[in-house]
Amino acid sequence: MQNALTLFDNFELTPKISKEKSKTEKQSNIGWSFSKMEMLNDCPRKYYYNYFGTSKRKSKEDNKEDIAFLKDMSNIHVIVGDIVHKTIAVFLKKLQQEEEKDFSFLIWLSNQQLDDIVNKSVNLKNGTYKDSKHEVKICKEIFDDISKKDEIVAFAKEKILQSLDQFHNSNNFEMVRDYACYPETIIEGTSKFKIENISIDGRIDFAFEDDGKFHILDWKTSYSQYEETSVQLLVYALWAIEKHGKSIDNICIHKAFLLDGKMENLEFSEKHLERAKAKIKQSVERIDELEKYGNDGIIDAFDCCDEPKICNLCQYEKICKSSKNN
Amino acid sequence: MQTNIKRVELGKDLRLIVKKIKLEGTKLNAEQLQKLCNKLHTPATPYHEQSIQYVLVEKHSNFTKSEIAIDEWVVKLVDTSELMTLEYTNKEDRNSIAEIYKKSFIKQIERSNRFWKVDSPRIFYENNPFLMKEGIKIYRRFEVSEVDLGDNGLGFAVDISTAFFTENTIADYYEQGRSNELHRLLKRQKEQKGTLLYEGFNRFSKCYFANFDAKITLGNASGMTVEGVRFNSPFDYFTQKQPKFDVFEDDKAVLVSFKGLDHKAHVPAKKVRIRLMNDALSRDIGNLDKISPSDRKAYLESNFWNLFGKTPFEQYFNNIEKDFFIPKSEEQGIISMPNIYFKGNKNLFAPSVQSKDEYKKHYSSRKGFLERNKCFYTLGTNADGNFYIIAPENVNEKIIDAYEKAILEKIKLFTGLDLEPIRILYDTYLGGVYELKKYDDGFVLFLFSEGNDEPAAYYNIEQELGKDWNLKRATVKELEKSYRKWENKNFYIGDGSWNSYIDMTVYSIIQKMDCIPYVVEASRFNYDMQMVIDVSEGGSHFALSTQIWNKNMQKPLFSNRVFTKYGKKKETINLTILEDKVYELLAGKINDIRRFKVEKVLIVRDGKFCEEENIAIENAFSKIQKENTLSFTIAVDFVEYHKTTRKEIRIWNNYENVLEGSYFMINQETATLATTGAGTLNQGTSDPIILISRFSSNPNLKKIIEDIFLSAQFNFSNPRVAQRNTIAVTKADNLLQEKREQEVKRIK
Repeated sequence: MQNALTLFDNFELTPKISKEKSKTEKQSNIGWSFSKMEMLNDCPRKYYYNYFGTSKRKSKEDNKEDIAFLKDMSNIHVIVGDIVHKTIAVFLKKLQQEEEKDFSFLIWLSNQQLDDIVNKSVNLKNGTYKDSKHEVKICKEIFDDISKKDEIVAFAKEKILQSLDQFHNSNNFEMVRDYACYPETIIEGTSKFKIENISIDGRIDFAFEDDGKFHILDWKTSYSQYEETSVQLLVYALWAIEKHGKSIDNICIHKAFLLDGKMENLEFSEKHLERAKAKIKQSVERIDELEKYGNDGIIDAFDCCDEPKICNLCQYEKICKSSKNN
Repeated sequence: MQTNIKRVELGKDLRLIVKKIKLEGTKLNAEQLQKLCNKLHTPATPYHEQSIQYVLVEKHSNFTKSEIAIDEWVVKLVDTSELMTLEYTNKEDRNSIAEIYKKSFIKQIERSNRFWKVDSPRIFYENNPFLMKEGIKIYRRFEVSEVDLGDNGLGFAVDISTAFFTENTIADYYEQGRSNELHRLLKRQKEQKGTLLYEGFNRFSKCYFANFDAKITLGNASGMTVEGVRFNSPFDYFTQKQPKFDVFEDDKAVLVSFKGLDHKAHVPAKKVRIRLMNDALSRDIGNLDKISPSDRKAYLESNFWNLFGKTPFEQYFNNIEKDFFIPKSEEQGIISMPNIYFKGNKNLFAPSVQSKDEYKKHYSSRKGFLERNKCFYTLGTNADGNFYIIAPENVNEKIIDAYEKAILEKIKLFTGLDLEPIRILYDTYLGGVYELKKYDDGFVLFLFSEGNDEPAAYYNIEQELGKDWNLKRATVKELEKSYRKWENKNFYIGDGSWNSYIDMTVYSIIQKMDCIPYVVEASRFNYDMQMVIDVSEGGSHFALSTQIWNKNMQKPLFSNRVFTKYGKKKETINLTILEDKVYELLAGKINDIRRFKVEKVLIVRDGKFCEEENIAIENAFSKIQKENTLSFTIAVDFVEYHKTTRKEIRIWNNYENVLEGSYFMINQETATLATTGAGTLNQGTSDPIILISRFSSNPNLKKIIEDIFLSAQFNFSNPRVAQRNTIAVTKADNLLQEKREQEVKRIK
């Protein structure tokens, strides 16, 4: 029998709550992350719920507790992505600690996480949830319609299996498995750094050095697809330059597509990095201009996107709809 | 005055007997109802009674469908055999009648097999190009719109325009080693998307270039999931879904994006051509889009209307009148030109007679008047501050000397100001900016080299310089091009091109310096203030631009500001933010509002008012009234300002362009106004704007038309030529364009 394993024992989870900063510190130190930018672009209302909706000081909503509860919820696609990422990270960290695990370990580990999420979602729905595993997410689709549980679980298992199978068996990822053993290899690390007064926050899936080249790899739980450039990946290059003193010529960024086991390199130049920096600054301006409305709890300044593709996957869907009906 | 509209016979007495088809199943939203109507083989329009949804079809329609799939829903269609009569005299019926007639017209056009379409259901391209030149296929296309002519009934406007496509496909460009040419045509360095025409299996679609990699074929390109089914490659998809499509596994693939599709797709490069925009064309070819009124009328008759005769609609529908619609005299007119005043109130009188020659004389006199009399207003503007010219160090010194000299001479000629410029040459543009910042702030004429002519550079410069600096951008490429032509002075066109390049640059500079070249007589305006609201093309920003000018003032006040717009709905501004920003703007102007007694305000929405924007604006005005003791009440009127005439209406006079200021009241709320016309248009047909008065039960459209036309005379972009848009619209446009040019879009 396998030893009981805490799923998060090897993780450097980014602290969720940082200390309250002084006003001047806030003004001179603006936080940015790719997900924050994406969320604001996708749906300002979701952004409000996520960043202001639970604040006792900021939010004027009566349903702060509901919002806080929903913050722990994710759709099944995000959950699958998280499980795959965490499972691979644990597997690689074990390798780094010279503890080699086989494919069944990957499956066991992912199943454990999925089971925790499913149980929590079902029990919360039934009002029988007692555990306080805050870090375990709630699955939106199961919580919304418990009768779909089996269908959702089957879907998730299939996607997870397909991804882990490629991770474990594809020749394209052999290099990852090889380099995981080295102690200086970065597995699920944070990538905090600054661009002028902007604090950039992110996570690196995997990074290692080989023959003077600094390789950064990003797991994608999708089929391979062309992306001309990506701020998310260019930020990794900026981080490597800023924090590791690498020159642009010695940085290689790889996109590892787990559904078809393909690996693609991101081609970039100084121009791309300049554009990425400008894009981040522009994004910060957008974030900043909305800050006063969020701080004053003016939810009406944050429109709902009203796009079924986004709304159907959004954990705040129900409270958003009911706020509109009111 | 004639129009390009043909009226359906019977005018306002037009009636249509329709039968009601009941929809059973899930409730559809407005968009889904439209989709459903488009899927039917018979012209139909949505209708509802209480909570029951119907579609209306002409009573003889042979209705066979009983079920139809819309998105993930299946809707049952039940023929109730219940008839109802729609009457054009009843305002509520007009849209339904127009919609059914339009769809019937479109079906007949499709049946003629003389045209092809891309994405729009109402734009038809002639089957064959009318010309092939310089590797470009040039097509005429017809755009069809229904027009509510009010008491004159229902009309249809058809207009011609020109579309340019490359003869070569994307595959040809790469196979022939012409990728640089391709990228130039696609304007990739400017972060533009590059519009393409994709000839799919059974239809043409518009798409946008993303990437081409010579190693990628339809067989080895990434797979895709379509409606839940996984295909291993595009070739796999075509084999299974479109087996008759003539594509092969080793055909080169180009990656493109389609509107409404959230992922990019590989399509056969041999089926994709470039849609060329005007700025990518030679002057000769670009001018083919300029069609005179007489040619336009003749072409419309011979190549479009004659195909359908009197019966462009299906059986049982009314005929269309043979001749183009002529508005009654009380529905049309010409807003007279105003007197304009230069420095020292030197007056250039309006044309004494409403004739083409007099108008031509008037417009061409404006520049001479400006040169002789100087700008109406320069004092107190930032025109008397520091002036910098900053350029890459590798620009030929002779060129930069000539440029600087010409710019300064021209500024002096127009304003009387003798500026002493500081010239800074840079190695890298940011190095140049750092050097510049060692000096006091002022006006900067910034020359970009080709490699830096891109959004991130524009953005970085603005960021570094901050708000105290006033920046005008120019490119070395354009400068050198104009200079080379000028050097070859044997050419008349060479000298003309350089002069006009310098003139246009200086007009822009003096406007940016807040100089006012001339003013239009204030007593002619009905509104004291115009406030323009405009949203940028990509929907990332919105602008508020104002003009305050009435007889209580010594000089007009213009101001404009730009704000971030959030959300995915491209045109919709968040109402809370809009109210807030309008309030802020008014609060900043409260002293002027009080002092100059700004009682009447015209809110001009560039495009369409979305949701309850009028209420947000009214709230801002109410708040201002409430918080500030004003001795008068501010009255606000609203008008939609459509630059791209969404109804494609043209007006002309005896086969010639109408005079500037000509208008035609289409119905009680809507007018078309030709701000450009015979006075300054040497080719093409005047492209009028459409004005729609909103939120008023008794609009005084004439007053709105007058003020819009007068405010277009304020547009100083080129005094010699009538300008299409009002000054406030142009300033809002320019501001949004500047933002757009700084926006880094191609990285996600």
